[in-house]
Amino acid sequence: MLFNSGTFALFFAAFAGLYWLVRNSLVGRNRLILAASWLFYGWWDWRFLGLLIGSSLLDHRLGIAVEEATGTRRRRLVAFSVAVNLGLLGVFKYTGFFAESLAALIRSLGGTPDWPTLNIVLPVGISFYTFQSLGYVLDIDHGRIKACRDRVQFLAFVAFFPQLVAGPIERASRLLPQFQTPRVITTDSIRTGLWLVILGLFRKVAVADPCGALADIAFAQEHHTTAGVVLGVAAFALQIYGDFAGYSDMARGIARLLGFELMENFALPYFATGLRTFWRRWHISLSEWLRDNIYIPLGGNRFGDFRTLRNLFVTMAVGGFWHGASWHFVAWGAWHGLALVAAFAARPLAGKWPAWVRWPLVVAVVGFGWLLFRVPDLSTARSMILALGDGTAPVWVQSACIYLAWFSVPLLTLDLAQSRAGSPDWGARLDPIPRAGLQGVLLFAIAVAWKREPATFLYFQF
Amino acid sequence: MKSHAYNFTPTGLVTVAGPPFAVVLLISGLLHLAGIVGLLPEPRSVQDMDHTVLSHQIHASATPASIALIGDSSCLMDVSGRLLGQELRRPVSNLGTMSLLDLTAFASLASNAVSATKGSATVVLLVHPDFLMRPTADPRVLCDFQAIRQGASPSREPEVPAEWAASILATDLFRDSIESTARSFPLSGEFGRRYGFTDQIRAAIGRDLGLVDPRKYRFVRREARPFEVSPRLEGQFQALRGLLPTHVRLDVGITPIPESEAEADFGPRHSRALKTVSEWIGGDVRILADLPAYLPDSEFATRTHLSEEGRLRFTRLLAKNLSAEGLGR
Repeated sequence: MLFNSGTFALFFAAFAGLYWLVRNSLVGRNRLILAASWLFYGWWDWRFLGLLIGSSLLDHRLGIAVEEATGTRRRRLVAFSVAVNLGLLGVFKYTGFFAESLAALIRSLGGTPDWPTLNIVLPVGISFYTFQSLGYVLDIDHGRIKACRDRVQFLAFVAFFPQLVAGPIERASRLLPQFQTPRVITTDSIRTGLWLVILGLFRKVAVADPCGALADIAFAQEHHTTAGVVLGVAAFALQIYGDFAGYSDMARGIARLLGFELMENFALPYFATGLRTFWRRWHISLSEWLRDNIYIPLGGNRFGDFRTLRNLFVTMAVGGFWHGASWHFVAWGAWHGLALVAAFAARPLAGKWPAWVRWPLVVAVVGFGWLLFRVPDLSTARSMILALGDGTAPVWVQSACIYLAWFSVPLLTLDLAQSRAGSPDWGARLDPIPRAGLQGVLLFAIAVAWKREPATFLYFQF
Repeated sequence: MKSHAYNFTPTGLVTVAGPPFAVVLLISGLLHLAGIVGLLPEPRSVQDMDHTVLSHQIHASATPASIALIGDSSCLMDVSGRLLGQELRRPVSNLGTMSLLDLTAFASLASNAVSATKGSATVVLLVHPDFLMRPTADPRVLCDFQAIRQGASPSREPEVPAEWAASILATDLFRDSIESTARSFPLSGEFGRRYGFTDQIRAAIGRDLGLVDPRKYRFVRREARPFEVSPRLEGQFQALRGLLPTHVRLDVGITPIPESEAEADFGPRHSRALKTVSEWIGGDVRILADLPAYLPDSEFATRTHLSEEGRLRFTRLLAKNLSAEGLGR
């Protein structure tokens, strides 16, 4: 069930009616959210519901056990939770990848690998809910939060449908208390929630999906050209931003309509004038999770420059691998790790450069990263990178430039307005007439771009 | 314990949620009005490959040509009009379309081309066996064809809620008139990979007088239907001849199928189909009986279209056939 589908609109309308009915019962509300979230998840593939429920129940029990345990037993319980959660990810997400990589290695050494091809279906959103659930246990271990004794509250926290399949990866310290207290839905929360839903739908339906069509053409070329690669990367940069930021906006907007507050996951990342700033603005919930659970435990920046650089690189490489079981995702993570290391090393010099010098550099580094991210394999990446130097253009270059401008200018204009206003809620804070005008125009653009068969979100595959 | 409270009034809710939707209706109303008073650009049917080809061919039919090829997508994809023109040393126009039209629609394209041509003209109808077995055209495509010919938007009676919404909200009007004027539309799959956008499809047809199907044929076993011309086409063939001036020569041929899909008796059935068509049209029709009924699988892009190499071979064979029939050098 996709946010950008009529099915979800019907689901949410029915849910909102029931939600109103249970307004006087905290237990009833959480049970309703849990049931709706499981229905929402099971809509994709009911067989994976067991995985979601089983891993959540286990982490709920482990959370309580970790809190009550001390010393070695506590460490073992935490290690068990890490092993189970990462093990699930490993089985469903990485088994095929490791089997294929090992087979390729054996073949390169002259051997003949003798095992059947594994076609394991990846449960949608597994990377997100696994990290959220695991993060809860780690937060208890680090003393950041108390264990949740109420099973329904915890299960609803893990399965909360607005953010279940593509984040934001919420910290228990932020979201869990919201299931324990009454929520108030005001005119303002409706106004801002509606704005976020409209903005998210616009980013997804009217920007990301059309830009994806251009990226598909550019990345599928048999013979790549310089202009084709640049246009393809630009289109993909807009697609992945519109798609993922759009999803996060909708998740936040839908949650807000229910009285819940989710964290901001994107904060105008393409306006960043530094690479570290970019990562503080892009997929913020994952960046924070990796910082708190990998970078800092590795030592962070506490043990000198060399250890800091190593920790940065390792954290980014893990982040890359989290995105997908493929070498090009590892290359993407490693590229950003190297770029962060270079930026760290060049800090004394680069820190003095003006923003107009730093911004294009960040765009180039991020863009090159998107090339590695979007390619189907590393050999395609190689041929696209080589094409960057040949100065050629495809026959469709003019059509593509106009097409890209048609979809990117409205998106960048909205982002500029947000940047000036300083808040993602800016469109809800306008005076009534401009607010209605802006939201009406965005709704019309969504209606123009609406497809009967909605396109799925890119991050559902991770 | 209270779980959540609704701290707003119904009026407050309407005030917040209502105005944006009112603005949508206002935009829709203005677009409808602009359409009625003629302020919008002329609609361009270029949002997908089928409509782009249809629209291009309708406009191209006004170009003079001593040989006008008409037919289904196999005519467009299996023949390079440019190469045929070079082989025959005559101006050729390939008016094959992608869509499921009928013979009278093909005839109206041919009739346009003939009227634009001074001197003698020949119309060559090339269709695939699938076309001859199909009794009727797609009425929605025929509706689009008529609309585009009249310079209108290919709108039709909405049938499903999404089409009703697009019609009421004028989003189809926006797409056809404004968006289609401002930009080109990307193609999907292999056509996107080869051509990019709809503008490049138009350019390619204009340049090569035909299109290359970039896909790769793979044989898939399916339930074979014996090849027989649908009796319902009899009237259409007669209408086709009737729509063309009597001085215009009409040649008819059938495009090939992959060898692996040809049943043992496909050759005789193919000959019989040509004979049937010839009898239905009667009089002066010339049958291109020497065109191959099937070709090797390696020369196909799909079961109905030849590959780039296959179409060059077929074009030369067609040129040879037409030369033998008195056309060309």
